[in-house]
Amino acid sequence: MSTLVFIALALVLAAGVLHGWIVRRGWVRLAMASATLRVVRGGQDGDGVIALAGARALLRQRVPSEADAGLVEARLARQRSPRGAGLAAHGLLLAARGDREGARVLLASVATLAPAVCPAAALRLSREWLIGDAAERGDWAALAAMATSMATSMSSEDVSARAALLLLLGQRLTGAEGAPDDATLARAQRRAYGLRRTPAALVVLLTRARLVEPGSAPASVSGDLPEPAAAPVPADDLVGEATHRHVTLLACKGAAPRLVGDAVRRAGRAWDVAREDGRLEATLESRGAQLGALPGAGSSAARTLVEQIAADIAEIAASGLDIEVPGELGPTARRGLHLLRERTLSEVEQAARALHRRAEARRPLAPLDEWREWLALERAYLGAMARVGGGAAGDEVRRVLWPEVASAGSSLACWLWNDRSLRAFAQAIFASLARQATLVHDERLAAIHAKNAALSPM
Amino acid sequence: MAGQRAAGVARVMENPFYVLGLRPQATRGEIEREGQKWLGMLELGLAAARRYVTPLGVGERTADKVRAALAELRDPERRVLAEVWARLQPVEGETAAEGEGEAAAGTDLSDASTSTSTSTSTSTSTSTSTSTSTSASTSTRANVGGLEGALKELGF
Repeated sequence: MSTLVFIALALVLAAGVLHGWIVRRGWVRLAMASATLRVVRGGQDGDGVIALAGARALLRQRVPSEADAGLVEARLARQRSPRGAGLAAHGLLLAARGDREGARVLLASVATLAPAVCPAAALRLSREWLIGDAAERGDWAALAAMATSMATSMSSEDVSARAALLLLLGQRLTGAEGAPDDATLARAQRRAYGLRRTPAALVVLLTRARLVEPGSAPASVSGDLPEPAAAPVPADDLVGEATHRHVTLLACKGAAPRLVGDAVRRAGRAWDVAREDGRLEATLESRGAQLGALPGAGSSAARTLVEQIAADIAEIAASGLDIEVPGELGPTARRGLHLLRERTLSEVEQAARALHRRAEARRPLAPLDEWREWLALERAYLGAMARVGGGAAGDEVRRVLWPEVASAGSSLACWLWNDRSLRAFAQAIFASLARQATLVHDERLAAIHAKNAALSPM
Repeated sequence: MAGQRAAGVARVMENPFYVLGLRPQATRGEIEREGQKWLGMLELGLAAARRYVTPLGVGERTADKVRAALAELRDPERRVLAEVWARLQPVEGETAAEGEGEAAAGTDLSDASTSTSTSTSTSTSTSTSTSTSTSASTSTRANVGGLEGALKELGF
């Protein structure tokens, strides 16, 4: 008996000591086994913790093995009610399979779960993966935003020294307010690497970062408007100038919101000038007549052109828009943004109604898919504000969409809590609804959802 | 630029005048002749016929595109619209859509041999901006790419 106890103790001790090394070697089966011993020692969210260790080891493999991924997946499938560790494991599994966007969504959502259902290690791993991913993509603005959030809601122990260095780097590279000075960056570098050599590429970025004055510019600014590869337009060619501005706008797809806002304003203004007093319509009508078109063909082409311009403005602005002075927008830009607003409202309303109907009809999805569907709606709702340019327009969209989103979210969360035992997810939905209700000054729902969110999910 | 191609981008990139390599003032005869010329060259598999320039970058010319362009320009109403979108005269060179904001991406963290002084010179030589009047710090922000290997450094 004492021998068995000794062996058990030795195994647990070895698991503790060797676990990190096993994970780094990419040995999925062993990582899961050593995590099992750690769970036996008194951990919570057992299957999630074991799967998380496996997923982490899987990510260390040069080419992730599908057989090993299957092991992690099988462990995750045993979870009836996923919690933080399981969610993080799902996220890392997606990352190992190359679905970075999916991983980003799931791992970002880990932080929205209540601490009671989310082991600190799962939260830390999620944050660190998101930090590393943003650094690899060069999304320094996202890192700066994470650093700001960390300053208010996290302690420095919540991420490793290397991750903390990347957060500070993001702040400094974007010139954000409160960005670290040179001495703070140097201290963070020493903490992260000590006597080890700092990787050269990181040294390059640190050197660049020191060229940016802290607080020198808003994070949203990220360069100049792109120029079309075209010959200059004669000064008196108003349609040519408008086309030039429009092509510039088209080249801005996915650019920083402030840049897109600037391009929308300029293109809209150029079209306004070209269309002044019906000039453009008259030109097209006369050109149509020269080409042998039927009477009215030019006017019809002009209407199509106006629709195309509005559709382009709406499409490019949909990736995110920041208009410095909304009052400066002319009729063409406003028409495009109105189209975007209508599309945005329609998309979010349809998604909310579909979720509401499904929840009311009690048509279940797999636990993780329930969570994904909520995340998609929440993201669309929050993104709708940015899509229409934020500010007063964003607030108005928030108020218009809130009743639909609140109904869908409430139905889903109550169903998940009462009938599905998916309390970790339900509680996070209640907490999100409480925050959003507060923002639209819906005190009644804010109080109800805050009360629900305070219930113990255990 | 990231993401799916916008409809407006396709409208410019596949504008019949750009596909045929003509300006909007071209006559019907010129359009037909040019179309037949490109169809003949494509039939022979000539590499020079396979690319055309637009203000948003280089497109790939195919026989289908040439036939679609000819059909579009035979319809006066559609031609009027196409003329507006072909107003810009494309020039060869780096395009806005291809070049903007992507220059310095992909620095490899695993390369540990570069010195700090090399780094400084790299940081000032990668601007892709086409407009003027940006400060040194602004252009640094505009051109900083990603840090390849960051996840590995963090233990993933």
